[in-house]
Amino acid sequence: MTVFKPLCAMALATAIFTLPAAADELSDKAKSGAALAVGTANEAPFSSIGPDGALKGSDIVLLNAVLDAMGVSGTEGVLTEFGALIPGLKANRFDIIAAGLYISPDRCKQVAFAEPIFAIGNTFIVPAGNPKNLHSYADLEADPSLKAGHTMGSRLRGEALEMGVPESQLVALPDGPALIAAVKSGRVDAALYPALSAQTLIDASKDTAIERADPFETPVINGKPRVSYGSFAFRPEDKEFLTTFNAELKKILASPEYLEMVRPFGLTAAELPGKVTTAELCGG
Amino acid sequence: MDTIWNYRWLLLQGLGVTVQVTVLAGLLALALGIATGLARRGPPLIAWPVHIYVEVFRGTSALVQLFVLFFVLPGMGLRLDPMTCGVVGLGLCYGAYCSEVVRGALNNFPRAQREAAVALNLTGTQTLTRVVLPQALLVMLPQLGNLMVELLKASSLVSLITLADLTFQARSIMRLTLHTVEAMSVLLVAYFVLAQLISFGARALEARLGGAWRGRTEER
Repeated sequence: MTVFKPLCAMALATAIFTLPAAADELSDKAKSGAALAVGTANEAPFSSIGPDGALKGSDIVLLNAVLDAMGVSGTEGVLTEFGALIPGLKANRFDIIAAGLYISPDRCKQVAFAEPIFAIGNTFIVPAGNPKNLHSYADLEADPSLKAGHTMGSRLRGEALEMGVPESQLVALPDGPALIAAVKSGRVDAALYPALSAQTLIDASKDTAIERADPFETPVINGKPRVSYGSFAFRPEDKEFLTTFNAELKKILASPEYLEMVRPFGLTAAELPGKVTTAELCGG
Repeated sequence: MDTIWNYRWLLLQGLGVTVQVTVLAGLLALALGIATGLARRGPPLIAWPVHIYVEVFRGTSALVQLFVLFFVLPGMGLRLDPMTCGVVGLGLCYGAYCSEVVRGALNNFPRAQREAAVALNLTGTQTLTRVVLPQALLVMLPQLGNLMVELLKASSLVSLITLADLTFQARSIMRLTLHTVEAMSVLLVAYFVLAQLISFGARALEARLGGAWRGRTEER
């Protein structure tokens, strides 16, 4: 969910160099029986690698279910850096991205998202007991001596700024583990992080020194609660494939079995995307 | 440490990728370095393109070179698999550095010996293989060994092009388990041991070549 800005700049450079491909090669590839390459990154609980080297996560099980329903048999997972996902899709290194990728207007210009598969709010990771009593952006803004960390290029920085937190209170750090280290060492008073990933990270670390701020007040911007929607990404050329994919995707999301499928990864009915469409999200 | 033990197969796979990239790219870099280092002393028609190669690949970052090979070339119709991209990218980059080491060693070769070789009626090839290289290689070896250690550490860049090397696997484990200290310690030790193997190899080769050369001159 973090975007490495320099990589995005390079992705743009790639876009300039990449020539447009012929109409919907992905449908042809799927029909030919060739394995589809799935680009993914360590973004638990959406996608991650297990000790045995196998890919797991909510995005992975859902993707496999949809492809099964479409009668597409083979996939081949490629684990890489988050920042290499969109450039890789554009360079035909992967056919599909499944890594909890958030839908944003900027990304919509580069890739074609399927309909939303989850909606997730953000949270603060704070030291155990929440000593500074932080439950909202307003609490953060109230005391200029407080610092909040976020991952580099994260969309949460923009959210904090929109909510009135001054830039001087925000600290950029490389990744989740660095954020948690900063919270534990008192370098920051809170870390801004997607709620579900924060829970996964705290569970995985079995660390009692940190916790999620509870309760956390979901920020409301322009009258809309600020939650992030995510989905799978395709090349814009593969329109025909995406249309069929979306049809099967909606059926599975609406079925009761879906929640069973993703329960092991901590996703619940609260994370269902609802009626929002990708077209609306791409519009900003 | 038991967390790391759970992920040992991933780390071993990563180690395999790191070693494979380093060895193959190292061989390519050495071959390129020696060939281009020699070519720089040749006629201008050969020396100039080689000069441009060295400046381009030394003057741009290895990360960007890998990016172009992997993500940009497919758009122009050339599609290399990830391992080939990694080996060719790092090989070309470090070949340019090696080239300068070779050129330096050859340029500083005593002129009197070349003249003596001419006086003894040795051909150009004979001068090169019998007189120049045996001595110049000894001068180059410590620096080439140095570059190979650098290459080992630069091999972690290949994670950008979907190769899951040792650093990538350790960072995955850090992200998944937050056992940062343990994962970093494994990396530290692993790279140190690999680097020691390279310097040991370079020193052994130096001793062997040095001994062989001295031995031969004493015989005659």
